[in-house]
Amino acid sequence: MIDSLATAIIAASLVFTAWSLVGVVRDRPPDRVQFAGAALVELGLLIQESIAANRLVQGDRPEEVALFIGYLIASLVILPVGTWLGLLERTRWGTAIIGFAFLVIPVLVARLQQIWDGTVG
Amino acid sequence: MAENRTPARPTYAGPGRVLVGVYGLFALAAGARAGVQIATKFHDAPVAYLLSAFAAAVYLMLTVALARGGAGGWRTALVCCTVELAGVLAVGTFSLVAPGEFPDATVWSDYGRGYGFVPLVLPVLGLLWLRRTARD
Repeated sequence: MIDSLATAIIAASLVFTAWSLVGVVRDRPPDRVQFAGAALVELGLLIQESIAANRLVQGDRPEEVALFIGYLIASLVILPVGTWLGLLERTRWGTAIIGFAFLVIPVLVARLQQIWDGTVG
Repeated sequence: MAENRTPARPTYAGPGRVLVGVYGLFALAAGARAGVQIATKFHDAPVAYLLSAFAAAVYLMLTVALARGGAGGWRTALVCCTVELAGVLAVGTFSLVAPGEFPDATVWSDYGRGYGFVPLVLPVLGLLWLRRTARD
């Protein structure tokens, strides 16, 4: 887990959440910014989590490994599924779905970091 | 293919697709969490973990029912949304009144506070959407 990359992923996701919200308010279908944003954030997640997976394999693990792996998989699935649903729904509601997916990512990344640092509440 | 009791609007289009996505996410979140907890530390808080698993099952049924639509999907969704609302209100109230009974949190504890109260808002939105899709 790289802290600076995690911060960048969280910041980018929030920016795209805000962009999506504007799209919903303006009654727009999903747009290229959202699709490109989803690809960008997903790439960041893949880099971050392949590093985490590598360290898991090498024996450097958080206390709650199963929970960590669960969040790891979930965080990788959210944006592709959200984008797919957004493609099926070419209205403002599709924009809302992708926006919601962007909103979930910061939560998951923050949770992943907490679990990794062993500060689970 | 038109049945007399087919809802006026499909439950899976428009705002309904947002509900399908959110319910799907909650089915995944609650299900994965309950699965991990039941597999690794079931005896710590069996009631809480079984409740989480039950909530996950309700979310999963709602995801499928709304995504499929039709008269059957609509009716299944209505039953599930009602159960969901009753569940979050009952568990939420109970967890506040008798916190000792819940050594570990469930999705519905404290009215879903751990999930940003989305579990409390979701069944209300679901029921509103079902009413909307039922109307001619």
